Amino acid sequence: MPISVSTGRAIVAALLLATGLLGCDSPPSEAPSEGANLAPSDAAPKRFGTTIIASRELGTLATRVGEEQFAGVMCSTCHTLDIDKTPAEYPGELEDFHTGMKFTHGTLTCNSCHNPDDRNTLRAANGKVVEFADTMELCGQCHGPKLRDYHRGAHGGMNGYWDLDQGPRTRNNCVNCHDPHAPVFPKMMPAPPPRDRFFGGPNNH
Amino acid sequence: MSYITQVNPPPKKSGVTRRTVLKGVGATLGAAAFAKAIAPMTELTRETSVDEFLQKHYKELTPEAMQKVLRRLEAETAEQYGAQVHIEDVRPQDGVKFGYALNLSVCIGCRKCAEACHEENNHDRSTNNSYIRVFEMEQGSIDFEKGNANYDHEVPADGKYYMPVQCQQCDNPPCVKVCPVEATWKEKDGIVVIDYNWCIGCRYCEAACPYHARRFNWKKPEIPADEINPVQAYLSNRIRQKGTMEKCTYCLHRTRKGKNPACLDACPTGARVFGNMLDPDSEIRYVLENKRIFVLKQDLGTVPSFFYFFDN
Repeated sequence: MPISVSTGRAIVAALLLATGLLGCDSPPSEAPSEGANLAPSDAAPKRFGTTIIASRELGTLATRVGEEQFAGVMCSTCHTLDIDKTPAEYPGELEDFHTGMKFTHGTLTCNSCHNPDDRNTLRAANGKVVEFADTMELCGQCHGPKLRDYHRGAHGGMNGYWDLDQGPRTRNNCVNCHDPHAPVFPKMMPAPPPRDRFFGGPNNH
Repeated sequence: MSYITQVNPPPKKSGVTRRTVLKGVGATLGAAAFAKAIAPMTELTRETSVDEFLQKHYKELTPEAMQKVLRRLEAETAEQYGAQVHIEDVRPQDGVKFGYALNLSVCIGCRKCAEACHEENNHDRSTNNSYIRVFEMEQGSIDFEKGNANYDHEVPADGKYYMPVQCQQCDNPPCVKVCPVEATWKEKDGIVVIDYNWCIGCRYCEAACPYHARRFNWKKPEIPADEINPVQAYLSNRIRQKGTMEKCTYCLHRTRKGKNPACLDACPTGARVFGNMLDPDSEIRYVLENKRIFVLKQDLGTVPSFFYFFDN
């Protein structure tokens, strides 16, 4: 039975209204997890822990003491001496010491990280004194998203167990991979490619 | 007068005629060709024992039969390779579904993962085989035809990014569908496995896999005894024989006991993230929920469990 135009319009309008009402979802009950927490919150504690291992002696300068030998020298060994000289502000101003190092960490000044009052420690942007052993906190003040990713397992790798209920895990300190003065991950030669069964050497396709 | 005289047929020659010589030579050559043609069959009986021939499918083995099979395989390895190994039947854990993610912003293409796989899974040394192939891709494109898996220069090179590809442990695996003898199947923790003794080596699965994750053993793997990884499992890294298929198993002899796969432990940049996707606090779940992830060849509907992501 044919429908009149006005009835048809009314039906279409009613259908659209019904679809609109049904299509509205209730607002999501969980807040987005991004940026919310550094570690998973209400998880049952795991049987094994995570250990962060620094690959080098933090807070000392490796100084040659023999032909092939190096010793770690505390910064205060030299930096408590009373020397009448303006301290360098930028790495480019260094004249006598620390000149052999590479500095590619942007336009940071030395005192962006190093504590001018106590050279055995570091200093955060708000003036808080940070020990060298806690250097990851200092890196994280600028590289917050990376530190968050690190704590959630998406950066920095790990060795050991994915399941901390079955075994422990060790993780890297930031400076294991990133030299704070030249942080770009170093280039390397890769492991060899697969070899052709008959001709040796890489395949040619 | 007739000049046609009766000619008697020549007397039959005794002794060796040319015809006899040709027959003899032909018969000898024929016999030699026949012997050469069936020579592989004599080797076959040497390599296959009766027990191996009569062994049942993995899913049909009782625990006692499985132990017998494992001891037999250990004895064979000791005899053929001179190494004492321990092969276990490692079963999947409950409540676990493995996921693996790879950070393309961070991978530098050093191939340490491929090298670790090569050593962990007892691959043939002469071909430097590995389940992982690392592609050097042009930045800005995901065109695999421009990808190169055989680069041999300092990495990372400018203008390139690196994409390791291994078995994606698909949820809808084409390799499982095409196997004519059901030698490969998907286990409940997500890993697609192969019963190497049941596989007939037809390579249909290799043809079906869109990622070239499945490899064929063209020859018996050659590994020096001191380089063999003695911690082995029936379905993963025990030494395969000539003529069977093999593939990445997410190191199930390690991961089913909670350890990281060998490729993840070896990665120096931390580009790999592995874990149980059913655990809401796991690292892999964080990546899947917060990063820009994609899968390879999504349009084929294989539903991989291997994800790629960028950091930014």
